[in-house]
Amino acid sequence: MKASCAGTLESGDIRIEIIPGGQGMKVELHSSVANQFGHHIKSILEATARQSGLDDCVITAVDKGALDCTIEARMRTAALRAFEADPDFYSLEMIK
Amino acid sequence: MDARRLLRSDINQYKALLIEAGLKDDCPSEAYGIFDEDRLVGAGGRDGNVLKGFAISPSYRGEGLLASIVGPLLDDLGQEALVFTSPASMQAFQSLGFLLLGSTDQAALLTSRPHEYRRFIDTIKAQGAKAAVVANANPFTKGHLYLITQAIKAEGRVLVLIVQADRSAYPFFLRLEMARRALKGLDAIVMPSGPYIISQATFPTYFIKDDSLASKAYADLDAAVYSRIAHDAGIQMRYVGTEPFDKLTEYYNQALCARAAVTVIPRLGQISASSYRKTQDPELVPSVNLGLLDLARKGKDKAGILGALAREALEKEVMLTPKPGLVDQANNGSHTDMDLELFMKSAKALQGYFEQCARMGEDYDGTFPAKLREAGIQAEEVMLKATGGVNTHKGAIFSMGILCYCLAQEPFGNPSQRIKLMCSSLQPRRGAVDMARTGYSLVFQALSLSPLRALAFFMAGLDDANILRRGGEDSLAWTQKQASSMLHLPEQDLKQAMENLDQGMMKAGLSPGGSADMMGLYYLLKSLEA
Repeated sequence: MKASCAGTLESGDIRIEIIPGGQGMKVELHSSVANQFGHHIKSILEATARQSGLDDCVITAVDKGALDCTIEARMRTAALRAFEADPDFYSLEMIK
Repeated sequence: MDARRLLRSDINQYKALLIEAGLKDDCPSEAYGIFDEDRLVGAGGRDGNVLKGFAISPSYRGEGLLASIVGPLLDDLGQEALVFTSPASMQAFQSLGFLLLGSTDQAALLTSRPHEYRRFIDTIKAQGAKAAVVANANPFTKGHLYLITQAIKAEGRVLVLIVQADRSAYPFFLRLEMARRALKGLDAIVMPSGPYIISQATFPTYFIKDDSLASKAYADLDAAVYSRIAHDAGIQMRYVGTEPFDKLTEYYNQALCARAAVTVIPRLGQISASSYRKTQDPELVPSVNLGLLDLARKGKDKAGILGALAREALEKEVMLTPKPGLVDQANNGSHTDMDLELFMKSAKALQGYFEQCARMGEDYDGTFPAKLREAGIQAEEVMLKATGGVNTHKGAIFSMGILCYCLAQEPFGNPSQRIKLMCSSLQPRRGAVDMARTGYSLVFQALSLSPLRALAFFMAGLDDANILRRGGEDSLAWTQKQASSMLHLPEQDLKQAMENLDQGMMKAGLSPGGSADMMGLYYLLKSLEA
């Protein structure tokens, strides 16, 4: 497993970095809508990260008003990259 | 509008954009830009992990172009980025998730990874110190020792942060080790200063002294960053020495006093790091560090120093006399095609390879890297060229190469575990490979022994492929038995026994080349204890 990132800082997107190490999973979110949706966004990030097989790592996310499906897709891509798979082959299927 | 990496051909447009934004037209080494048709309308770049040179054409401001530039820069970097920027742009970066570390009315510093900053703070907090000294220690002098001792007297435990940026006459790893050794036994915690204090981002002119306005702006910003760190980490008092010579340092002290709680201690006599650099007067530095200061003279940076020490280690190994069956000052042992002079030539030719190994070792990740193998193969050619086709140091190329590679991360730590992990993927084979797979545990056990005794220890414990090749299992068993029997002899008798064994091995045509390679490692590790 290695450090990875996915997404952009453009409006409507979310940029995610995964930094391996530490104990357990730590999710850090920066979002202009953190007050209303912070909890929700974090729960999507954490659930998707666990589904993708991540455990000990720091996940940092800078949200620019991304939709749930975008958040999920970016998180999966970052996880795939962390495990060195090539995400391009899977992305269409993931976004549905 | 398109975003892409800037090319050399874009540089004139980029410079124009920087000038338009009221900045200097220094282009960073890597940059991204946004184009409207063919026109560059926004750009920014990075030098190492410092983001800089951001400029957006006035009519395109407020459209979120910054995000399209910063994102790809962060993607490429893949680690913490620091931004040094104007207070006006501070908020734009904050909205991209950056954390503000400090700002003045002229400049601001932010990090892309707030959690790394918090982790740094937690590490400091965990030391339980209420006072701090920040020192470049270039080199560590009796003046530093005095200042820190005074601080400990007044405050108890003191945190000593050694400037981490590697831009000084003495490389960082030596400056850190000098502080550690000089402060041993005192209630001082020595740590690297981290990426935020007097870093290349916060204080680039600290390293190239000038007292211009830019330097003062940097000094103010660094003081602001320090005061934030001190506040977050529970450091209540900073200790500094009076500065009678250097204007910028004096200004920096004032800037600190304006923003944080500072105690200024009168300097001890005329002692300063710069006066040591000029005079090399050993009276100015703690005597415990004289060995480290000698190491510093061997190369200009960590890899250069390790390369020079590796070469010296091979020279010391061949000079060690008597060595049974091996080339030494007394005879050429069981060899007809080589002598002392040839070994010296070979060691000299390999210095660059050892330096290269140490440089590559910065990227240590626990695996055996292909590039190390390639470098080793090339080094064999270098050796054969220097010796006219004689294999003098093939084993040393392997083992010393691995040691230099694994020492790079922490030259004064014990690299045994690192070596073991890295070599665990190698196919087991009696001799050099198996030694590497143990992390050279025999060598580390031998460090407390005298050179001759260490040699006997290696000959007794090693499955020497060289002896196996020349004489088979019986000869190996015989050699090991002979060597074991001399392990506990007094030094003078040991020497005599070695001389006798030398005769015996020459008669049998045996040469413990594998043990000689371990002696090389022994000498390198010994020189780091200096």
